Amino acid sequence: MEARGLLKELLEMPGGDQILKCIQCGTCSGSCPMYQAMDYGPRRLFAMAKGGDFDEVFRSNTYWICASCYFCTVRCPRGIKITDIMYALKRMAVARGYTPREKSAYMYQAFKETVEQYGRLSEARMMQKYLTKAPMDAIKNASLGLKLLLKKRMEFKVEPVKNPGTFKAMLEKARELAHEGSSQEGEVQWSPEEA
Amino acid sequence: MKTVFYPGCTLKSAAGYQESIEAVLEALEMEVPEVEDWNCCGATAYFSLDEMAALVLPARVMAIAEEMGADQVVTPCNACYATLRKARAILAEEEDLKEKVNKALGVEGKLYRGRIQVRHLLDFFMEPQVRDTWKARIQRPLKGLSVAPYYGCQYTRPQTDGEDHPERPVTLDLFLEDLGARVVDFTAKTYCCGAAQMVAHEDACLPLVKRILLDARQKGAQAVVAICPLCQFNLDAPQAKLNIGEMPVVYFTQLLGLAMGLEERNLGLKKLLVPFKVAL
Ligand code: SF4
Ligand code: SF4
Repeated sequence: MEARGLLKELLEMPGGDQILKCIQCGTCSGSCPMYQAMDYGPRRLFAMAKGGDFDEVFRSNTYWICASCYFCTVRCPRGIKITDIMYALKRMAVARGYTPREKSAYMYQAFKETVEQYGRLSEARMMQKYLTKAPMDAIKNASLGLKLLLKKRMEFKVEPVKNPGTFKAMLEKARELAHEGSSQEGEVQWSPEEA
Repeated sequence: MKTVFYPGCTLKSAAGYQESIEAVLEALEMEVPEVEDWNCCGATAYFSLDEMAALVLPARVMAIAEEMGADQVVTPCNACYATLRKARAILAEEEDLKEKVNKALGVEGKLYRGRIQVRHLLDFFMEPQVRDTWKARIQRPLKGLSVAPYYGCQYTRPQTDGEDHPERPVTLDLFLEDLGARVVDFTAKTYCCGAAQMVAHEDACLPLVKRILLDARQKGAQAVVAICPLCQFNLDAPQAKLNIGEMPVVYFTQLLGLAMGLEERNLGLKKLLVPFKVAL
């Protein structure tokens, strides 16, 4: 009973049990700016999760598309921390090897790899990594890239933290400690961009 | 009260935000030292992939700030602000997580105590003492300029450190009124611009940006005022694709600099993509 196991896991994370308090009022979906692009709004997603239909929950793009605006969270009449649950779903999905068809997953991964390397983010570096996975986005934004270059706002040089080695060791330690508990984490498996 | 500054990764390539902050602080003879050897806060990416690291990254920044003897760390970015505050709130509640975070920070000999406050740069400028300092220096009030204050989502959500309303905040309105500008009744002031999703889901985000800019135009604004590098970029950069005319998007610190009579060229206004050329 995989579904039951996942529901249990979701309920056990801090605040996760709140999902049971959902009254399906739809305030979250009605407030969500990204609703149009989602397979299901948050309300429907929670109904599916409560019903144990986790496979469909994880296959949906909903939690990857969430822009983390917290609109739903501040409006939910039941005080459910919806945005945090979206984050937890992403971590659970990656840990379970659901290959996301969502480009946002690759964007986050590119972000993470850049920070792991330098301790800081360079948007230009991150975009370099991301665009190899989503080349169409490079073509769409070519003229913008040129404008930024001309305005001297394209920074490929990263000024890293003083000691990238110990910084990385610190993050590795964090990862090790995460495995001791129930926290979820994993790597997004790159796969070619879907047409 | 000792304050340190956490710039965050996006400040450097932002359109004149850093320049205007530096120019204003220099003119006010205020020194706000930078958090030494700061790192990326992790933003939404880390909470999406790796929760423990998502807590360690902001904790490292706050630990260094504490080491520097600061009472508060100030940041000009909504995402950094929300991330630091989120980590702070979680670590205040979950003792075992805090212990683990400190074990990881221990690799670099750092310790997060949880005493530091996290403030947005806007709130810093609105602290009574700081506010008095710059108000006394206003030389060219922005009379005749109509502006739409854009807060974005993560400044007031899930919560602010002031009393500001999650959907209808007023802090930036008050700031801009202090500068002498006319503040329009901006319905879209906390509507989401799509944030990082603009990268992967431009089709879904462009209508959001359009809605915000059109609301500003309909209310008679000549410019939108931003308080975050990502918000500013998302509202400024895609305008060429929207076909709704141009609406300049400036930083609140650029307007403060102008009102203080600072040289335009020191405020980085030329870096904006949609030019801001309102005669003051
Ligand atoms: S707003 Fe809250 S209670 Fe209403 S459907 Fe969404 S999660 Fe459930
Ligand atoms: S936080 Fe995510 S799910 Fe909630 S309203 Fe914003 S985009 Fe939608």
